[in-house]
Amino acid sequence: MGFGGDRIAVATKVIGTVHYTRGKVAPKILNKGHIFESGDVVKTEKGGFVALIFIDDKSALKIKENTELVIAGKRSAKAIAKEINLSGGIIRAQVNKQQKGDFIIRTSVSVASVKGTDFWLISDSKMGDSVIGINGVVMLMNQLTGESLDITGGITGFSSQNGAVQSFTTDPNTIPDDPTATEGDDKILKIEFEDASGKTKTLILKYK
Amino acid sequence: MKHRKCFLGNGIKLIPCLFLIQIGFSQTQILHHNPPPSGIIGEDLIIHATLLETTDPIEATLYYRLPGGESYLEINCYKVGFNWEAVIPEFALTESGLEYVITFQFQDGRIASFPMVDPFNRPHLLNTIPPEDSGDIDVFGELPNVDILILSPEPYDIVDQNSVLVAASFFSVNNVDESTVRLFIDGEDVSAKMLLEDGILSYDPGTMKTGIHIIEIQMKDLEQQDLAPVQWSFTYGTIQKNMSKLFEYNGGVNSRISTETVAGTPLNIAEIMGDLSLNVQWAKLSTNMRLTSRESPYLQPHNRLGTQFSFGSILNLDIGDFYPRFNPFTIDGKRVRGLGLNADLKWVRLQFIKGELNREVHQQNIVNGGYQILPDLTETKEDGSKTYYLDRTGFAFKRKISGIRLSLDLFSKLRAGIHFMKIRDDTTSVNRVLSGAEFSTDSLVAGVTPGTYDIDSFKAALNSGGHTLNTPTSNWRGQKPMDNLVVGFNLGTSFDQKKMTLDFNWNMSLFNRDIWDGAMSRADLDTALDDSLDGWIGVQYDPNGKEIEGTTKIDTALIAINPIKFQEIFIINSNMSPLVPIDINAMKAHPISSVINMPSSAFNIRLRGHYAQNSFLLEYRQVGPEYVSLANPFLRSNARQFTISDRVSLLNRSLFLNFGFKHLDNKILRTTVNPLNTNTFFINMTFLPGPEMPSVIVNYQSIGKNNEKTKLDSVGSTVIDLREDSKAASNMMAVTVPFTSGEIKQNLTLNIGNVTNLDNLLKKRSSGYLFPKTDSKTISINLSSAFPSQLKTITQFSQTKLEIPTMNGNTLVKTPYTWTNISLSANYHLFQDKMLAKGSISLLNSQSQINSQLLGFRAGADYRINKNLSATFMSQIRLNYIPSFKKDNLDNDGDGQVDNANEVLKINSTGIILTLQYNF
Repeated sequence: MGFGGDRIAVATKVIGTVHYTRGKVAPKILNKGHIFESGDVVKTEKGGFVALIFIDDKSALKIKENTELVIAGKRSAKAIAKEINLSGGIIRAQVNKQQKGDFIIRTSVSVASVKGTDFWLISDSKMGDSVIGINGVVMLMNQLTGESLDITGGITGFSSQNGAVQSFTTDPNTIPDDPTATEGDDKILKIEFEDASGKTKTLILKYK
Repeated sequence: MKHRKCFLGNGIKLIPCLFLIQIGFSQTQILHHNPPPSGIIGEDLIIHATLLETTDPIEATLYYRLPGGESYLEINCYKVGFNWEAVIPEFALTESGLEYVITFQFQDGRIASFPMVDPFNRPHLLNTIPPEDSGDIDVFGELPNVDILILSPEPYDIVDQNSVLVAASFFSVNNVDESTVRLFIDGEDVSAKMLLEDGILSYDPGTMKTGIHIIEIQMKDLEQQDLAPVQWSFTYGTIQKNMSKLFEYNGGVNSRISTETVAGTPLNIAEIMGDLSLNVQWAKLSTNMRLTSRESPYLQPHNRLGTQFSFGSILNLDIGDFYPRFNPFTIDGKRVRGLGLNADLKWVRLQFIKGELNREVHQQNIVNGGYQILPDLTETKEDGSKTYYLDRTGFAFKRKISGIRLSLDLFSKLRAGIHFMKIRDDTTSVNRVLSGAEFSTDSLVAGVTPGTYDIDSFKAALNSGGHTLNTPTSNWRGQKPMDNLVVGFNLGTSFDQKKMTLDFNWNMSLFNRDIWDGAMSRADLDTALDDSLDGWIGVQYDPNGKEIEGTTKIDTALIAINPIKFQEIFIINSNMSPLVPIDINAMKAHPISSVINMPSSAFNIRLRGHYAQNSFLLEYRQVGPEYVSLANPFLRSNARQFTISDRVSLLNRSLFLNFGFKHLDNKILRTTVNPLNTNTFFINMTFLPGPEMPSVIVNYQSIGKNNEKTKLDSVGSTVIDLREDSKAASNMMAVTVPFTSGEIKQNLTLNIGNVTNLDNLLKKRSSGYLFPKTDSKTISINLSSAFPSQLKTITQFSQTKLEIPTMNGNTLVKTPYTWTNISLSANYHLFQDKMLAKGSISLLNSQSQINSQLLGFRAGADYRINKNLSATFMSQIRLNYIPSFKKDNLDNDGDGQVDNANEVLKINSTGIILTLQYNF
């Protein structure tokens, strides 16, 4: 999808180290408030996370650590046709029902076509893609065979390298954590107590 | 707030004239429903139906499923004035379309359905289309007159330092002078620090004071006129993360009050519906309930209360009302009140249900609703005194159900399962004596003054005349207690990398239609069909004691099960159906065929494939004439069906073709004479090129029926023509064209449909033969307009023409009926979108033997009181105008005056509905 230069989204939260690459320029650190242009390559390092919102319909994309993708979008007068090319990693797409433009996520194996949906996509170049439906419906299609499945809330769809797609009930333990769902990180306060004999005990307080 | 697509033009508007033509309809056509041309993907769909029946049904249910799915989900229909409504939830409307069935079940056992014929095997297919671009159609939001999109933080959100970024999008705004945009945080102008590029405003406020903060964007348009500011607030701080992570909850409460008057009959309903979900990391508890003023001890429950515990993905426990599903032949979404367990370990799964399908109802709340005198059973004693028979009426037994299913799924290569289900009416659940129930007597009860009595006063009156009363405590004449046992298994496999699946599902039932007398002993069985206790069932002897050849002959010694010992599982007596499940004689010659084709068996074998863009289905399905599952009352028995169909998507999923063929007949038993064959060919094309492009849906269905009958029948001296050889062709085309005129975004939808019936034996029929099928033509035009000023209108025109065949003497007459409907509805956002005002006006013109007009007005509003609380108010009035009543010299309204003004124009119905919704 060769969209070029259109400003399409803004980063609302960044945790850890996240880089972006625009054109042939060397990667730069991505900060909160960054405005994405179509074609930006985003790469999150270990512990990195970025949340971004598209400016036409507030569709949100959350990118977890060790993920690399290309954000592309074609601006028209009324909408932005969005396409995410995911090389690998874990993302969450949250698209509301007032969605304006098309929203497609591609990996080397699958295509997910999104409409009024909230889901996680875990892309593994060796295994395949897993789509964990949270809300709404996402159509998961395997590019090799054209076989497709509609994934709804509570269902996980799997699209494999060998062309098969299948679905099963979601194991809640497989749903990735969303850092924006629980704002802030714990801060720790350690207080050491020493008794008359010299023994020490530590009281650890976690706070926001 | 959910979007709901409401298809007007159905139901209520057709009532007056439909009442007039119901004589021409068969019994099941008391249910009238005009299906909408399409549903919108991801949006609730309100389905309307109209019941042309003076008595309310005891169950009004809409069943829906994905096309070709094995199971239906069911939702209740609610009465709204003349109409019944059901809301198909948004998640059910996917791009695959939807199949649905509407059923109304009455106290006397009658069932009306849509579609009329074989509804559960041939449900109505509804196509779906994507939602229109709703960019300018705001729902309740925080945006005022300028369409600025708040990106961050969300209104009322709680954010921490990492997330404090003020961002807004001017993407959809084209009349703002960006140089005039000012950003204020808590009243402080921070415009100098903000960025506004390419319609994206952003500002990082850094560390803030903990608490609530207010953001305001002020701006002017290109002509330097002030625009309404955009203002929202958020809280800077931290969420109690650990707590929210460990323990989350959400839910809602909806309260609805309606007061309506329909044809002079008041109808007041109050309902509270709610749901609550508590979620901890390892478990979830979900509760939903409905309390309604329609709840009555004289009916099956309308209230609902159900709770589900989920422990991970392994265990689900349902308590209260729930909707279990084994397979389409046993229980398939029917409501059960009790306990349900579903333990799923991926490769092995256990399902268990125990509860009741029906609760006990002791009587009806009317005279003769608990007792009724049966004069035919009066006995006269030698002394001339009489014993009168007082039978129990108006009751329903508690119907208990228990079932278990164990299934395996081994590496997706082998699927197998067995199931067992038992349903029995509890004869002890209904009160034997009703002290307050009133019943009437007439002159047939000698010595007692005709009137209304209860059991005590009636006994006293009889005793004073020297008569007695027989009040049986069992074997009542009305409904009989039943017993039902269903067992079965399924096998399945997948191959070619799961692109193809093959499944076989087999079931067998035992059914007893009357268990008042309990189980029979072996000796009872011996004499069930004959009078000789000889160790043989069904053997008869001539006067010389010689066995009569050719009679059914079953050795009681071969009956492996002692009915007395088996009665806890199933009650065996002469009311069983079938008495012997397997044809023993045929068993010797064709053992497999005998088992498979048992009249009390039901099975299907299904092959499904997904190749490239095709999804095809090949299925054979058979339900024997004696197969019964009381948990699936709508299953059509004595039917076998072969289906082949394919759904293919083309042009990058823009064009969908769905086509197939079905053959249905009732030739299961070799003894069947003149089987009814139904051949259905269907094709559907849906073309959806993309957003803001015209879309086209075309449906064609041809149904041919014949009963292989070639000769006329006679009843007494009358010759009757029961031959069936007909073809019904139905076409439907819907075209939707979105366009823009000026700043008004519009959608024009044209929908044309017709049903044509052809009698292939027309030339062979006598002139007095009535071919009772009705041809129809429908056209509707719908214009939906979204104005920039928050106004949205829908203008609709529709016309339906029917030609109903009737006999006038010996001449076939097709009486035309034409209904023309024009309506205009509008909604308008007020008070910064906090209020949505709604209104509509409609006119229905009915041309038939009696012409009439129905004028309707509706007005109301939705109001969002705060983020969690919203209220809805709706009022309506309908006026009926029948000009011919002015000079017909009849007192049409029964007020004692002939041809007065009230007869011509009168209020047909009025109503007010209040709804309060709270979400948390």
